[in-house]
Amino acid sequence: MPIGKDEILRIARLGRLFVSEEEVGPLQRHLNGILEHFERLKRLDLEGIDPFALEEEATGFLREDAVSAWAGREEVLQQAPNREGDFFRVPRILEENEEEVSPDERR
Amino acid sequence: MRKPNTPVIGLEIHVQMKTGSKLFCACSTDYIGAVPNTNVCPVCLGLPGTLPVVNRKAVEYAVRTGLALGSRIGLSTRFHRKNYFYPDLPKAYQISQYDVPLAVGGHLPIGEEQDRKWIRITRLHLEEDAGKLVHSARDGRLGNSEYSLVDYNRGGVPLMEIVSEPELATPSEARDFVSRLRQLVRFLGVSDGDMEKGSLRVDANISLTGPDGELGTKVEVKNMNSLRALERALEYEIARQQECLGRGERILQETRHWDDGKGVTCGTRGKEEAHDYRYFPDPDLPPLVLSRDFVEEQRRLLPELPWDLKERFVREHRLSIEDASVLTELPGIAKYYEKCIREGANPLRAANWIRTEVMRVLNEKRISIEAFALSPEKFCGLLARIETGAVSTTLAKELFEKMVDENLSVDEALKKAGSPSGKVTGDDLRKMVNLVLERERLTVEEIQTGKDAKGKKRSFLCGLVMRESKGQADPGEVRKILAEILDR
Repeated sequence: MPIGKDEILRIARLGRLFVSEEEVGPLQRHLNGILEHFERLKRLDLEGIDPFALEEEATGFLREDAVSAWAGREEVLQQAPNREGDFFRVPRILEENEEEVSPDERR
Repeated sequence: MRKPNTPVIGLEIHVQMKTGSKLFCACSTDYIGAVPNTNVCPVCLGLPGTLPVVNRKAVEYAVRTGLALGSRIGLSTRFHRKNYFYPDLPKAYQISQYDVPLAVGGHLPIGEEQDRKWIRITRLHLEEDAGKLVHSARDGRLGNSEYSLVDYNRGGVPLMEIVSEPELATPSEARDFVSRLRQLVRFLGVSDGDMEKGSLRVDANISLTGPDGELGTKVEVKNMNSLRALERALEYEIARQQECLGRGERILQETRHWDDGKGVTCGTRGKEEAHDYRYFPDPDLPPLVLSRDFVEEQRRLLPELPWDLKERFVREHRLSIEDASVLTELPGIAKYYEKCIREGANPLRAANWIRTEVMRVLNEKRISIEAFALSPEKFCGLLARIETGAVSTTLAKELFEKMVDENLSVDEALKKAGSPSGKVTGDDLRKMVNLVLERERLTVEEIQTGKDAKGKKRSFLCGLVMRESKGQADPGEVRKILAEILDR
């Protein structure tokens, strides 16, 4: 099913991306192209094939539980757009499903 | 088939694991009281170009917990990205597990004996914790703040999320479930399970069945920071939903927050747009493939499970269920008790003394049994003296206080309690002995007619005198005076 304009805008909103009117069309074509490709993959007969078939033992990738401190925190804090002492400071947060509370509701 | 209007409760529990380092990097997990943003690195700050590497211990702990719950451990599972925007999540996604969790199925027992109920576990998966936000408003409330401050020390701490089937029927069953799970993770040594500190967090899903017993619309309740809060929040929510339905209204599917001060749950106002987390497999992490040996090794490390231990205490030591429950609530207390039994203590007396005196001292000093100075050996020395009657209960309690402070033996404490001669001595003590013998004429007669071969009755009298003297007499002198009078 092809992706419509509303879907493009919703995905952009979820990803906090600004998408202009002119960009919607090309993005729509691009994403639909990708989805068509996946539709073709879906039509392949994969009966009896283990989805993990190509994956190797990954236990070697487990790290021992050892603590080490990192010395660069000051540098990171300094480059933050906004800091307050030891904290990163961010704008007031409203979740997507929260609405601005009017002043007289604040009590 | 459920009856109409019956509560149906399911729980989602996040347990912080007691590893030294975070789930995907070497930063310390010890964030409580730490200076903000000190336990951070490029990985847990989500800086570009970094790669997560899974902490072996976190996997071991989660597998161990899954095995204890009787879950099936997935030998090949994967990590997904759960995408959402919130400043406590620097990558804008949380690494979690989605369609293939580490463990599936299993169960946890609640209730006692004939009321025992096995609540099924849906799944257990690994994920990382988020950072902490401090809101700048004076009342600390999100809605009133001008801006927020972020501390990423907690970000990346390993969590296991454990989801129960919706099989809990009452708030007290839900409370029991959480308390049993907390006890389990403590016995397994995988978490401190402290709800106040946030190392064990509970979200509850609750609905009421409809007229034909069908499942109703479920509401998620969050922000309960204690077992009591969980129970109260669920009681409130059941009453609220019943009232709503009674008025002919529909239940809104939503997330509600428990306000412990006001004793109410509050909905998040406004549009309820369902979250769209756009899960997809994390390309930075290979599938988590475990060998059978790895899993079997964890199975070997399982201790006796707390509910089995409790039943054994009841069976072997003839404890009441209540005593056994108290003694098995924490693994350290259970171990202390078992050491006392090995030292030859009377199981009931040891249970009573640990429940009352030992636990009182732990509470007063706000310490755990691990930090309790008095060794089980010395403690049992005291219990043995009570057993033979050489020391009265009153005196024993005084001696106990002295022993606890400096890890003294009974004899050392006795010496400290007063000089060996004691404070009640000579004629005063003789008067006291006579007073006791006056009251215990029957015992005296038995002793004098040779019915005290083992000397127990004599010890009993000695104990009574010691009690009479409030521990201020010397037991040796008491025995001497008793002998003089009784063997006259």
